[in-house]
Amino acid sequence: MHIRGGKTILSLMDVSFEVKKGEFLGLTGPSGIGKSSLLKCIYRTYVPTSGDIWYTDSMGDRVNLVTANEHEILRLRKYEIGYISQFLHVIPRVSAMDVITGALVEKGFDRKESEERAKEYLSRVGIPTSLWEMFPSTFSGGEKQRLNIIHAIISKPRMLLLDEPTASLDPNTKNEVVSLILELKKEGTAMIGVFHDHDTMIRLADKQYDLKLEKTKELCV
Amino acid sequence: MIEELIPKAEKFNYNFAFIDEGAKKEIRRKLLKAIAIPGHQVPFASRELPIARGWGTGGLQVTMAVIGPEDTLKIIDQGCDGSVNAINLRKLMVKTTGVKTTFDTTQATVIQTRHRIPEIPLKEGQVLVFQVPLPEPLRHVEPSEVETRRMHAESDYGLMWVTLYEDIANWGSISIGAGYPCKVNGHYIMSPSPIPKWDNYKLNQAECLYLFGAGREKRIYAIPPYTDVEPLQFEDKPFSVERFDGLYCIRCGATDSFLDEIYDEETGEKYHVCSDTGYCDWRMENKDE
Amino acid sequence: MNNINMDHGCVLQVRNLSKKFGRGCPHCEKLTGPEFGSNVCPKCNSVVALHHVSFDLYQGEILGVVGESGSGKSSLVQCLYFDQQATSGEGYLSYYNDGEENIFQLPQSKKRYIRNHLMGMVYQNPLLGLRLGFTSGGNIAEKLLTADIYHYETIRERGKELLTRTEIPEYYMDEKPKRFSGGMQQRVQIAKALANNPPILLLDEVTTGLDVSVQAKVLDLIKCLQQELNISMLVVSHDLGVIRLLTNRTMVLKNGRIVERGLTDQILEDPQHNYTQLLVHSML
Repeated sequence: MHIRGGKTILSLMDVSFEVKKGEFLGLTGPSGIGKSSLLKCIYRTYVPTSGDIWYTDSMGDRVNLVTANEHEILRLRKYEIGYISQFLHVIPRVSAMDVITGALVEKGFDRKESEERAKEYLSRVGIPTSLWEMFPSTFSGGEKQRLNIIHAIISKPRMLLLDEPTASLDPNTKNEVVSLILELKKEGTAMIGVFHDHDTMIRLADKQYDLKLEKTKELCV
Repeated sequence: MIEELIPKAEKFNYNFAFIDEGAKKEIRRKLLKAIAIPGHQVPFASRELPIARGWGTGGLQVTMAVIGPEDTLKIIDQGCDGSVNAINLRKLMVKTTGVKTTFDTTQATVIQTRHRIPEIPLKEGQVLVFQVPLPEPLRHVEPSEVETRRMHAESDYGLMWVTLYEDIANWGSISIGAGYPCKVNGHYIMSPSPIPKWDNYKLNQAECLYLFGAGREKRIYAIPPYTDVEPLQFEDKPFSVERFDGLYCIRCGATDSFLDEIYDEETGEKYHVCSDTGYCDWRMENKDE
Repeated sequence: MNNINMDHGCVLQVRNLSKKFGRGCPHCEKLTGPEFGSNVCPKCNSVVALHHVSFDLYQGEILGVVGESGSGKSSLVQCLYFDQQATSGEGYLSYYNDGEENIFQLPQSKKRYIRNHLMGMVYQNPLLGLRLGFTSGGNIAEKLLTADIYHYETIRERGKELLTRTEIPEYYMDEKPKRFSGGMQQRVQIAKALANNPPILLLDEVTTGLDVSVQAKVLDLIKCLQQELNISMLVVSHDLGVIRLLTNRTMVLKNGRIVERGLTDQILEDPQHNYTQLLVHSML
């Protein structure tokens, strides 16, 4: 639940679920029910009104993402929790290559190594070499979206939050993105995602949580 | 002018050394403060004198305040005992005090100077009084007096250093000739009145007392004996003095003194003489022996 | 001396920083603030520019300060850089005496030491941070010389390095910034602020007044510097776009008080305070 402009909008009530290491939870429900809000609450972009979100970090400590202090959240965001939003916010006039490299350098990777890895990922999602030194603001919607995805997954977070990552992609690119995500999942990343198309979710998710029914359902992969 | 004034002075019974005892007391008090804080400029109430501002009124007042009947006085102008300025000041001092005067640096107890330090090292007990035109070394980088005082108080000398940096960046070396700024006792940056760089080293760990008086700017400062005085310099661009390679004094043959360039009026030929006439004379006398 | 325990990783801790312009009266604090929509005391006309501002700045983070004109943003950085004398409050710097002394109560000479050795400042107006009569190299040299580096070649080398960093061609080193464009002056100012490797950099509306393409370059530079040098920065801006791109955490200042603080994306997407909501919703 959160408040905007004096009006109280009830968006989520009594949501409970669990995600294990290497597990993918898909969130479902009609639009406007608060799927994205839920992801944002986990990422602390939204401040939950009540409840707890327990996260076990790489040190094995349990952290409540609702009450943890800002620096704890920033640390987790930097090293452990990734978030793929629907929009990419980058400094204008920075090349795609630098955006992706920057995501790694920020986390303490060596610049050269980062550049190598950035090249690998950029070519895997099919962004043509000619665009690498271009500014993302000149990209098409699909290219921006792919950039956004690799920006989040290149540093291999322990937990990944995905908000409609494949929304504007053609089938081929979608396949490549799905395989990238599956690869990451195999390495043990826990994931929570919102998808608009059921097919992609079936391909990725191990179980789904229906926000309307407030129920978790196992999916067969 | 002075000739007219002096008889009147005697007639109307002017005080010893022209200025009144109250004024001397004030100047001596300021001198004590200046000596206690080496390199710090102390404001003082500069008096009117029978010479114009800018002609050595600051140095003169300091000399008048410290001189006693037993002293031996030497007054030089650019190292010269015989220039117009030196002669007139000397006359005024003699007529108002009756002290002995000398051209010999070693014999003098009080030496008033304009823009030079004698070549013969000064000893304990001697006082060198400088006539200072511009006491504020920071003036050309910061026009505000309030600001320069704050900068001195906080040792905020970045700006001063930048001018040195810019000099090297633009001209390859520091272009300041006379009045090269130096740091006194590790704190204040001081303008040593426009003495040539040649004389800067004589300020460091000197045996004598240096007093500086700026009459127009109404400031007194001092370097007590045995005080560290370092010219500002970059670690890799050491301070260097004027060089007179291959040159010598045409009169006494000295190669170790600061030389003035002189042109022969008739032939236009260039030659050099000691700037310090007392030193030149001393060498001539010793040569004869 | 009141010694506050500083968290690990905290480089600057500010507690109850207040700044008042004018003679002040006992009612100043009670009659000003966001609830009155003003920071001018109705009884004595004093301006309460800052009242009880507290925050922690952590190693390598960029902390944003956002607010409209007159909210006290500039007073805040100016108090921290000692351009203004704080009226009251405490500040502890981990780099200065292990954070044991209140920096606002130090004598001028020690404040100057902190300014020269531990902080860098970039003003909105390059005229304030640069000496236009000196060359760009000289401006950088000034910062190094005040930090007691007196080796000419070292200064030259560092100057070249910084100008390259800030993408200013080397041949501009011995040119006076008077003739530079606004964006270039701003970059020289950043180079100067960085000269002595300060652990803390204060940036006051650095991109305001620059055209968009230059603005982008300056923002990119700041971000890169933070990533590579791990400098802690305080970024003051009225532009939420700048705040979004640069900062991790943000404080919202209104009439000299902090009305809200939090993670930047949370402030922008889920603002809690009425004023912040207004601010966010008026974003272009």
